[in-house]
Amino acid sequence: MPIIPLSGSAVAHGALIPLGTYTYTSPAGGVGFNLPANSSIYQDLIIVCSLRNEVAGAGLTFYFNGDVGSGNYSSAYINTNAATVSAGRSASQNYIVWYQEPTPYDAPNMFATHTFHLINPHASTTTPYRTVLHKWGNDLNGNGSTGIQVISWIGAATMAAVTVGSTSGNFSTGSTFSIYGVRSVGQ
Amino acid sequence: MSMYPIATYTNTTPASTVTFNNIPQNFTHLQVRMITRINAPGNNNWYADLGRFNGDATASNYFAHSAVQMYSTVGGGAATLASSYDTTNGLVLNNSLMEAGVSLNYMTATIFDVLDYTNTNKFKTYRSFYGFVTVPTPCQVGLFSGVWKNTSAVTSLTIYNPINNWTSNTRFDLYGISTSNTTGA
Repeated sequence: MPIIPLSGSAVAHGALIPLGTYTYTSPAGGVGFNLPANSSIYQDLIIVCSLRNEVAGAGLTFYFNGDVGSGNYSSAYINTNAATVSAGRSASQNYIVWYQEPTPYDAPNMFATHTFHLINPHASTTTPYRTVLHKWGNDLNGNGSTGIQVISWIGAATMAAVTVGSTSGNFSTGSTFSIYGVRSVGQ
Repeated sequence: MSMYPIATYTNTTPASTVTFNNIPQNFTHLQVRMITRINAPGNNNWYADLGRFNGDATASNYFAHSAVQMYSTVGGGAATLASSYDTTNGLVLNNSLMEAGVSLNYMTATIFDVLDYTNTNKFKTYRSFYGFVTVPTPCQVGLFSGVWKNTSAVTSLTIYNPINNWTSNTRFDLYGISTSNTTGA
């Protein structure tokens, strides 16, 4: 297939389209973004979060289409925590979970940042498997962490929803969740 | 900051090279968002997708650094967390999955940035964030960065795999990123 460059009026449109955002004015649970039926007009999706949790030890969860019980997620990561660099992987998880979020043990204005890049999420109903690139950062009273992760989801369904949730408790006031679509040529 | 699509390529017929020519010079940065898989029966693990600016194949012009976590073998294997520095034959964009023992539906996702690509007073620096994960292994996540030791403006970008063709689900999208003259944002 030839390379398709932009031409004519198509040059004018931007690629990064804000699709939805939530800003918490009081503590609440996670956010589920229901993707519009024409979501295939976006080549990629980007989710950006600024998070703090109300419960010590709580973690962030991430999943598609409400799929939390089929072992369809696998991941690998690199994380730095103060002077330590660690790496690992998990296979056939029921959902993605990541700990080390700011909680009531940490200073009140500490929030973590998370960015999820969903590459080619609408390719078809079953193939290829969806791949996500995730990066994060936070400071926990001088400790904190930064890292990267790759996630795969082998669910055989059209992607219709993405959820960023919590293992327990609510996210704090001031937490934000935003989703963007990335349009390619012809979209 | 605004982002604009420039060109796209989907690998619907077997190929191992794609070249974006005549890259517009009116953006500040470039970004390539790509999803790749190598179809190399009999081969295991992975192999890097490489790149060249302006068709320059001079090995001494490219240097790359990496921080990579990997599990190498199907069904297990120890984790390796490694960093490297090398003179290369081109831009090192990722390590792209080609493991013959796992489904071709598993892909490698890569986001590749080139900053200030039209500046004729700088060598061009790039950064790449990539990963793939299969069940249970191999899997890999990492960062590459590097430099093209040439001050020419980047007018073309070639991405290639030296091992074999990519699968039909492979796709490359090139974007330009602009900034505001007023705020610099």
